[in-house]
Amino acid sequence: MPDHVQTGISGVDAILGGVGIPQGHTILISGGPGSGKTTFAIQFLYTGATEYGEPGLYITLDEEPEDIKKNMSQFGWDLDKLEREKKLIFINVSPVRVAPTERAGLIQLGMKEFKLVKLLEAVRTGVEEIGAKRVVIDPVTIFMLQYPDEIERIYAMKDLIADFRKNGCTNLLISELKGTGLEREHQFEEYLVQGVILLRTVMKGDKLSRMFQVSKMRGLAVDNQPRPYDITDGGIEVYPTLTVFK
Amino acid sequence: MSLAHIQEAPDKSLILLAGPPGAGKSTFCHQLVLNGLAMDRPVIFVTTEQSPTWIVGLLREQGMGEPTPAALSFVDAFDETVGVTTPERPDTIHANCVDLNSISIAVTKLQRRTGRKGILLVFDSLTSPYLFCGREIVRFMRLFLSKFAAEGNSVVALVDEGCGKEEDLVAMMSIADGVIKIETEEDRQLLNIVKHPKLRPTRIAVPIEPERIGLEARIFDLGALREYIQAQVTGGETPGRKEVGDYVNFFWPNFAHWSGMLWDPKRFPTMTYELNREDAPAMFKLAKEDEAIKRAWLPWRMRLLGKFLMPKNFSKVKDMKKSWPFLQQLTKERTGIVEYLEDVSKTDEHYFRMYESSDCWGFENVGAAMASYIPPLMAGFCKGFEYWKGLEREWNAVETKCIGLGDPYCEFKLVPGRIDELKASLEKDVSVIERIHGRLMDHLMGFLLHGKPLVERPKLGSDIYIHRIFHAMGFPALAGERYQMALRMGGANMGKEVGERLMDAGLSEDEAVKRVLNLLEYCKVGKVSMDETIRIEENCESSYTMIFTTKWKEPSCYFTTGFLNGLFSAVKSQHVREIKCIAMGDPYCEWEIV
Repeated sequence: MPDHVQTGISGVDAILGGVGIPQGHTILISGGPGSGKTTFAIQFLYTGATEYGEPGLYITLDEEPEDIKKNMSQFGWDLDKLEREKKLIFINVSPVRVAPTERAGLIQLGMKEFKLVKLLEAVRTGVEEIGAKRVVIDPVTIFMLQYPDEIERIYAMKDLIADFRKNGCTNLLISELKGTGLEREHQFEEYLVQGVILLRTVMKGDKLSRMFQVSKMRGLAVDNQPRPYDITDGGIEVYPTLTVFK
Repeated sequence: MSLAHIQEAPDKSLILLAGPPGAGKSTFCHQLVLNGLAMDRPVIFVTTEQSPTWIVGLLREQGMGEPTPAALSFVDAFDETVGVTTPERPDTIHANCVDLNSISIAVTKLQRRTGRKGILLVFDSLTSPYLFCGREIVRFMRLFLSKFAAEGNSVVALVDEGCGKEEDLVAMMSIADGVIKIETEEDRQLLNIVKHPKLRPTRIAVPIEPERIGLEARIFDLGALREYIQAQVTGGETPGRKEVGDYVNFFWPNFAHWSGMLWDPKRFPTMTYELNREDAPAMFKLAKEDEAIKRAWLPWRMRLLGKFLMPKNFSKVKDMKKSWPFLQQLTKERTGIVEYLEDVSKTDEHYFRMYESSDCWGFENVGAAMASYIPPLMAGFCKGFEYWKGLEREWNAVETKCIGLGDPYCEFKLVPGRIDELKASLEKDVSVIERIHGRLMDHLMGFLLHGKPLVERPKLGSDIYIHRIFHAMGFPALAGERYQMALRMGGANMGKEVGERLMDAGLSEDEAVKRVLNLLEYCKVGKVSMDETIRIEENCESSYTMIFTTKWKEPSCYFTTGFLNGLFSAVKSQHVREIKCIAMGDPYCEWEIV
């Protein structure tokens, strides 16, 4: 079993000490709207399945899998085919889906434990069904929103990560980044996970400038300078040798 | 040190070109681009003040031809910055001046796409991003441009002086490995080399409008001209070719001509036709105006012949018949065996037949009329002689039958005035050009790999009088940079392909070079030798330009230099630079290997 999991995303592995994410780690991918978090996550699973023989599990709490597949086809990734070949599985555990007609919002009191259990169950099913080695939860923010109390939220997150450690998979948790630009608050999830990758965007005039930064990666000497990245026709490309200019 | 040295971007260096707006920085930079392309370096052009389409237009004006996106690509930081939308170009990636990251990313993408080393990156100019990003541009120079250069590339960045803070300019100049300041002063441009990794600090002045060397009386060395004409008319010794002799293998001028044509298929044929057609009339005009030229260029025997034998005009068949001495001369020079077809000719419509035409031999059945030299020469002869006798009118000639079209001989139609089908006959379509290229390569590889003779005609053999060289390679003197570029670039492309093919055939580097240099000797280009440098004595390309008095300030073996350069870049990853040239008054032409 390899010690590290290559992301296969252009430039990212070079930044991750040339080797990739330590196998079995849970990593937080944090970015603002439009920063390419979902693209990053899907690309991680796609290259895992196609290039490294590692099946992937994608748990969505927000977007419909069909919408995701449709959006990702612009990069030339045929996700349906991977699903048929049992190299990729989508599981939709969107809380909205539980009560689609209710207008009560996403937070449904009294259902918390069920949600965590349901989420963990979904992960287990996926891992068993196709032998997934890579797991993505997109976005973990929605799951966390169900715990209005901060202490409870931390415990739920801890439980989730603890359970993840057992499955042997390399996991990406997607979260919304609060605040854009260089100034930002640290989010509590960042302390609990083993690695944090930030996808940040800055407005330059009327253009968006993007930077990729590995702000934490336990057990690995990484380049933690911000590096420019771009979302191209082939997915995310990070430029590990370029400096970010203001 | 010549201008050519300055216009070559040194390796692993960032050169800053500073000067006030309008000092000619961009023009200087375009020359660098053309030189880079001629040296077979991939060029990435970051433009912030003009669109790529516009720049390509300007470069074409200077004779660029049609480089591939791998050879020349653009980062367009102009259109997006100013907000205009232009059609997508396959050689362009967009960026904007507001975000320096977008520029560094775009350059990196193009660098990957090129997949080659030794890139020339031209940044025209840093002023726009400076206006948006301020001092951050200094960091950009240090952490991107300087680094990019250090990785084995060359970077030339332009910046306007007097726009922005003085200390920022000083910071930029301190980061750069070289600084060239450009200023204008009345009618000349001053290039001030403040610091440079290869050159000593100095100042040189360049006239702003480089003097176009037209065909003027004062450019001739009358002695050399007289010697040459004597040799041509009465069989004396050609000046400058004492050892190699008066003939070259006609493959060489044809090779030069078609290399130029392949480089610039749109304009090269018309350009060559017009130059060859205007040559004789221009000389007659000079001879009329200048007694000394008249005596040198038209020896008394010729004048006598002209006076008594030549008609007032060539309209009628009986008058055209009097052009026989000229036709005889063509045969004597082994251009081909020509006869006037008086039976099918009529007033103002004349036909000639030519056997074993050197223009067309070796191109059997390529699907086009191949004569590039003889038709315009005949038209020029008629126009020139009529002018001598006081009549001013145009003549034109077109090839109607050709070995290249599958005919057993070639035929030409010669008429006063325009010929509508001329343009179509001169321009060749892509498939024809490919066949011509294929044919040239077949001949060359047959010779280089299997020792087969290049081209051989049953009666006239493989040689042609050196006069032909002037019409294939001597014209840069008259036609300026466009023609020079076509010869240089065409030569470079061909040299590269020849080198690659020899390497593919499994030859060692040294053997490949040796065989090509043998080819030059075989073609009687000159006496070739090579040790640290390559030397060609009596090089036909420049021996011929000797008849001009104005010694060229720059080495001017455009085709030979391009060809050797392409060859060395493919075979040895080296370049050559002409350092001595017969045309500059040196005893031989010499190339250093870098």
